[in-house]
Amino acid sequence: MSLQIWIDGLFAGSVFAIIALSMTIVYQPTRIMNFAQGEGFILGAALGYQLVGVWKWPLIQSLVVLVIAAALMGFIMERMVMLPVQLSGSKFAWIIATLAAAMIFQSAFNIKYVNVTFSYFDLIEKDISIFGAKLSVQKLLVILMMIIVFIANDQFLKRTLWGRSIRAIAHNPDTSTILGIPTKPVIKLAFITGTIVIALVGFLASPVIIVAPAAGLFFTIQGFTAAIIGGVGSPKGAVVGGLMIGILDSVVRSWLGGTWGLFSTFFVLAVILILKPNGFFGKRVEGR
Amino acid sequence: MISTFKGLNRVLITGSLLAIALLYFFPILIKSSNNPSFYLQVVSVAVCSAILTISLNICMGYGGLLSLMHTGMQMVGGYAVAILAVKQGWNGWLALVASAVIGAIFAILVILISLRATYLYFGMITLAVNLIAMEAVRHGGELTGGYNGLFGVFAPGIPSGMMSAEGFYRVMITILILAYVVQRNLIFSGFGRNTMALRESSETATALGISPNMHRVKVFSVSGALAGLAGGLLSIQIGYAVADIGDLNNGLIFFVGLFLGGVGTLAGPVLGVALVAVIDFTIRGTGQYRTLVLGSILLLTMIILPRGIVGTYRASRYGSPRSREVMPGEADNYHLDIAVKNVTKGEVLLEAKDVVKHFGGVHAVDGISVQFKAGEVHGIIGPNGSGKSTLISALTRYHELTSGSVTLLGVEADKKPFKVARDGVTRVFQIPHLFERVSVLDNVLTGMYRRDKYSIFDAIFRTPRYLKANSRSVAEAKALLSLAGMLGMEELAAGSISHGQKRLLEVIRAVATEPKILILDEPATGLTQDEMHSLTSLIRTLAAGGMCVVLIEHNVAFLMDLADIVTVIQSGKVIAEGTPQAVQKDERVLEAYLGNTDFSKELA
Amino acid sequence: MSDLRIEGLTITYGGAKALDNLSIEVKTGEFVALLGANGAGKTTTLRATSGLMRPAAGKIFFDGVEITKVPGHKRTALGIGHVPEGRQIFPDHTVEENLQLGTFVRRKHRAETTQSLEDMYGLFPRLKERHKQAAGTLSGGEAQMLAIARALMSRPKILMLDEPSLGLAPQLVLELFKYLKRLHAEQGLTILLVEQQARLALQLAQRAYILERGAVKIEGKSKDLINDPRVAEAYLGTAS
Repeated sequence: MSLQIWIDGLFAGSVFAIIALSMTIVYQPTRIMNFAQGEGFILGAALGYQLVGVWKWPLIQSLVVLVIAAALMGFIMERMVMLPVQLSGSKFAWIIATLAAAMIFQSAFNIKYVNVTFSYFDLIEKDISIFGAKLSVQKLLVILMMIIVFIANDQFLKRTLWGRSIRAIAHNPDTSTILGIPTKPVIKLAFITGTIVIALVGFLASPVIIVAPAAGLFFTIQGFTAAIIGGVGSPKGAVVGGLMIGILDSVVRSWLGGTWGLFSTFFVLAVILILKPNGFFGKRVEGR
Repeated sequence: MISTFKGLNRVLITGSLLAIALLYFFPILIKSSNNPSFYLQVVSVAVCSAILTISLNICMGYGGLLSLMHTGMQMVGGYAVAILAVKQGWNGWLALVASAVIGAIFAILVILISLRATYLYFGMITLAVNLIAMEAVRHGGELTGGYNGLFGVFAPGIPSGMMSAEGFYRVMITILILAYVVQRNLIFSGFGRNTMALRESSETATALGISPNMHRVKVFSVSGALAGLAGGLLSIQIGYAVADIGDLNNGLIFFVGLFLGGVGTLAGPVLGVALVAVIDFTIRGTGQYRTLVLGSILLLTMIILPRGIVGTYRASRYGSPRSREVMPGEADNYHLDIAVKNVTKGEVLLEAKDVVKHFGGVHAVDGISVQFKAGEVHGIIGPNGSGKSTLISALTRYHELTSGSVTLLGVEADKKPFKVARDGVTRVFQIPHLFERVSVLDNVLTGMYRRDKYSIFDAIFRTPRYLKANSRSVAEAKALLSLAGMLGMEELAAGSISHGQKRLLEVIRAVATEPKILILDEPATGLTQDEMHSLTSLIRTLAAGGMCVVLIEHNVAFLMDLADIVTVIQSGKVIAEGTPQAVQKDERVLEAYLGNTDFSKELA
Repeated sequence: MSDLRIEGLTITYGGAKALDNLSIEVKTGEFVALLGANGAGKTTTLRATSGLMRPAAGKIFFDGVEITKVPGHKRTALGIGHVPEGRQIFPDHTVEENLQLGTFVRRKHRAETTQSLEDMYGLFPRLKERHKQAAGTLSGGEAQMLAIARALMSRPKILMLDEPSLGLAPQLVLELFKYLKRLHAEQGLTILLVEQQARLALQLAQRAYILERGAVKIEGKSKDLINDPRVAEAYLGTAS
């Protein structure tokens, strides 16, 4: 099997891993798997297309605007999801609320961008050759970003007081409260950071993988799949799961043809859920 | 189900009948409009949605199973009809029946592979299955027509002019009404009660002898059959089957309808879908804004009307049932033989030998031997954290034993907790585990389901066998309620009665399972003096009938003239056993409770 | 000042009254025990004071200010420390991280929190030995020390402890109680102690309330209560 396939898989896997990581960031303090998370990916792709592709803005300004817009989206998303969850007694409130939020954002993108796919030129049009296989700098950036996000998130959770507080809330919200840790701002922070992370990967990856305005749910589901294979709530699991489905998809695709890639991903998901119902690194959770 | 047909309720029923009539005559009403077939199409699709939403309601609303594959089931049903009717040339009616069967089989396969998954993961599995199913259909080649789907699906007989569009429309309305009746009959039967029991607390359902896995399979298959049927009807109505029908995006409308109408209510799904259809029709010109509007409605509904329209009505003063007046002498109508069959007083029913249960390094139960005998009230006391509850969980197989043995009626007790329950050991938990959204009567009936020897089909079709079994059970349930002084409260939601009555109701529900051993974990906590007396006399009656009543208590006073024998546990070991009077004077017991270690010197 | 005053507190829980018009008071510098059988409402009282439960009626005052509607995390900043039932340490965090979480309300005073950490290690040397270990690996006694130290890290004016002796061997209980006594005597900390082991608590506290069914049944000085037969009755019921 050629090295190229593995490199492509590594790239795709990194995209899924970052998406899954951003979901883990939201999941930790909230116990919510956010169906609207993928819309952040679309936001990144759309802004890349609009700012860099159409308006030809410089990279730095575009990134600043992107981060601000993503933070805003995260803020709105938190209200859209947490308000119904807090008010409704239903066990399914989270899923319905995040689905509704996903639909609202998705239709907003659909209204703005009719018959457009977000593929602007590569930010850096250059290839690196590794033993004959090609790796574009753009793809390399995504792989690096995955590593940076993982390490930054890990260090944040382990080394900072706020990060430790998030882990504390994830474990026991009541005890966190009596230690004086406010849960609500932490949840807001999680939504905002999670959205910024996923928007950044959308921005970086969309020139390589062509993204449609309505594809948010697809990326959400890929992220879920990665997170579940690795174990919901575990950053390590998100990375392992993401890389696994990315590489698997790439390998199976080249071996049996395009459609089997997606098949194999979900097949592996089903098998893992049967054999290891809590994923590789997950703890037994009941969710919300 | 006895309803109080009064005022507002009567208006509602009249309204529903009018709505049905309106739906039936709808094709005639729109004949003179400029585009009758379009209007008919709109209503027909809504009817399919309503059937699917009923299916979703059975699964999520009543069963508590998070399904994200209902659009997929619908798609599968649609293809079943398309393939069988168009390609195989089956009779259309037969193909419709097949769509329900195939929907059920699809659902069974999915739930069988995901029985171990907790509810969040179950939702994710259904999501994955939905995607796999759509991919499979898209790449099914000749059989499914690939991305284009299959066209030319017609109502049974339409090409030969046997059935008009209006005719098929009426068929669909009829099926919707039937689906509603199926839902209603199922929910108001042992099947429905078990479903709701499982939704509210898997633990309690198990304690009543319900097998959680088996029942989940049943619930999901019924839901799958209805969803498959809805899909079959839809493909005939729109004339084709295509993979996009399975897209979760299309599922939003069902969720909106369900939540708007009220999750876990009978009329909710139909009412909700009808409203959504009206809204959808009003904004039909706006194209892309449709999803935006629907999504916003869904979020607003959850914020403003968290229980949905029907749920809010039910919880209101107007919609919630009231207690009825009890006729003088009515209680005499209900006789109950409370005696436990096939046991003799004093016979050892359950024997535990050297039971040990360690959690990691914690020796929660550290070698306890105890005997429960027929006809005795057996108290188990001990300070907080002494291992009482763990002992009970070990005896009833909720925990696996580290070592030791449990014999039930002379044989090794089964390893599955619901089997232990079926063999005659019923426990009532410390924290109230009532099925709060279910009526008082239905709570008691849930305890009786093992006596009801009727199938799902008996319940759906209300066969004589069902009716006979049901009326017998209702009479027995009323007898039990009258024993606890709760006659007249049958229709109240269990969540609305007082705390003491809830505790009593829970005991009654446990008695309804006809246990040989009844284990009550701190039943007296929070009871008023009167309720305490009711409970005491109930326990005496039960023990006199040969039942062994095990009481886990802190309150020794409550046990004083009730218990025949008291076992005192501390740090996972038995420290004393005897009559309550003896135990109360035992210095070791006082120490265990109050801590007698004299640190006054050290602390001075 | 760290007066805690609870007036007519009623809390319903699933239809049952967990607290029924309960009134208690803890004055600055006092050591008060809250006793009673299981289900009497001791834990509920502490949880309500910490803002984890919303009362149906009644008021809570701290330092003369009504805090009934103040959110839970802000009450910690006001000076209410709570060692919850069952310790509730964070098992995946290290011992030191657990302690640092206790400084959340004082996070802006870095030097001070570092000093607090040293103080805690001075008070509980065994925590220092294990400061890098995951808290989940501690023994029951060590975990209880950690839970207390963690609450002290916020420099509370009043410390509420919920059954700290639960599951500990007598020798460890003695050790624990010595610490509590020192905290009270040397640092002047106001303490509200919930205990099941009444006789033990009464050897330590100055005053006690004995709860029954969510209300105060007996109150008085410890030395008067320690031989009062009514205390045993509150736990075991009346001998008939």
